[in-house]
Amino acid sequence: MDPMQLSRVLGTVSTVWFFLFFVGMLAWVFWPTRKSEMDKQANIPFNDERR
Amino acid sequence: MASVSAAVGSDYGASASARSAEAPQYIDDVVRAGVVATIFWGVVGFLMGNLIASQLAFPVMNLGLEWTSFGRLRPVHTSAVIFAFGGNAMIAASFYIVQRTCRTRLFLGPLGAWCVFWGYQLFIVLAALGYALGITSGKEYAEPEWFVDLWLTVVWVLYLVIYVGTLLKREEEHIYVANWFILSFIITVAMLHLGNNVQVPVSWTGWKSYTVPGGVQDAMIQWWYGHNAVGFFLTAAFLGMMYYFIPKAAGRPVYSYRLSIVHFWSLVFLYIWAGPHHLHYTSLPDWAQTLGMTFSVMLWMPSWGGMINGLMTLSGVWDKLRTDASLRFSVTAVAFYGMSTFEGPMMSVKAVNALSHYTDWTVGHVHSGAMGWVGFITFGMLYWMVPQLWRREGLYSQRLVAWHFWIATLGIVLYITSMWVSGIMQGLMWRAYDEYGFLQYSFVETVAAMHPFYVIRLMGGLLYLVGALIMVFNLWKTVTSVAPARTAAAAVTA
Repeated sequence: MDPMQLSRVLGTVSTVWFFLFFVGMLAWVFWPTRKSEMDKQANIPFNDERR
Repeated sequence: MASVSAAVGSDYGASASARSAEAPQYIDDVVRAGVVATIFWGVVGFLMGNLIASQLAFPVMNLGLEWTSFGRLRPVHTSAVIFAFGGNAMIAASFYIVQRTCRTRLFLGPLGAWCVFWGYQLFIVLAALGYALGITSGKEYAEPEWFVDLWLTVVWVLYLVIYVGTLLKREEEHIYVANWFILSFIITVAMLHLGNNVQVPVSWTGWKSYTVPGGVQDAMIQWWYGHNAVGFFLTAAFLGMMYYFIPKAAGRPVYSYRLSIVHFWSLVFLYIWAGPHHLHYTSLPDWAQTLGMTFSVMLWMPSWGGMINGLMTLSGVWDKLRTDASLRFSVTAVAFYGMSTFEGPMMSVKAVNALSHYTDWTVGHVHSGAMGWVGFITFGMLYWMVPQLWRREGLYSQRLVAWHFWIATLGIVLYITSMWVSGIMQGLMWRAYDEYGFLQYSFVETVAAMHPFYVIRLMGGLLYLVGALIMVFNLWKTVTSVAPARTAAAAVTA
């Protein structure tokens, strides 16, 4: 495969990969069962205060 | 505030008190040094900005010397405010945040952190001295020559190692979102720095070098670097600051943690492609220009999502803005973030760019982001962090913080409104034709027309500097004459 062809294939592959990654991220973040876990994670800045 | 944050974090109450026995002694000496360096370089950078603003309004201020001419001092100003003021603020903020959100000490201990701190100061001094002496690679915001670039690479890799090492030995299960933003800043700046400085020295004993890529490739790499310096140095890094210090100062967690994660991924996915909007109507291929424009416009969404997330964190405690002037800085910073990230995508649209590019409008846009967002979020952090770091009961004077706030805000308003008028006028004059199709104005006529706006801009800059000097006085008095906080716990929750 010559470099130009390779570049085109990689361009297509990475576009699809980025898109799938992004959609996967959205699904992961907004999955209903994950809400309480994330509310706890939002409190991390306060965890070192209560000594 | 103690009761608010205790209530907010009640889920964690039991487990946190169990851990309290072995609470780590955080490495804060280097953070304090970073705070001092931030303030020092901030004043130097603002002073330089005022000097070069006065040179544009009154050319006699160039003093007739090569070392003090506008061309030499302009990169001194930009590097001092971005890399020295902003960079030290981020070194201090990142070391402060990563230890507390991971509840562990810095990887490699105090020595490693001090090497980063002093190594970075040496980089700043080498770069700035070089600019004044005319040693420059001529790439905007990447002016340091090859030997300074190599030194920065060493320092930055050590910074990355310390940061990642600290994350790896964290006591907290999850990596808090502020650290994601800061880590993306450290990694991307390393990548940008190496990518944009592929250069060959003319000799090993001389300072001069040439970049390997030439022509439009060089221009594209330069603005891939340049815009991501904005996106990752001045945006992602300071968003990390926002996601830690606004919740701390407001005493409540960020409005939506889910939104913060979407903010992070969409910001880093989109910003990296926005660079070509600096090269509209150049020899850069049209498709690349359109790509840059499209990604810039899409950036509206994460930027405004992030702004809403920052502002809504205050819902329920908006009254604090009346009493806590330092929180006012942080919140106004987020508002400026929203404003300048609205303006930026608009200016990246080719039709708008045809008018705005190469004019003072761009200068005004940059300064609403730099002074309003980066400056104000940093001032808000400093006012919150200094009493904590030096274990004081509080700030020396809230009234002086309010004076700083209003003087600096007025300064920014004068700056950006004068540059809007000046820039749009300049753009319109450049493109005006007379009835025979000749250009209506000569270049020097457009320069003369801008003079009053240059004077107004200088006044705005002076106000911003005066505000910063008030802060220096206030923080100095806080450290030297405010009573120490009675207990460590009081210092944390004061």
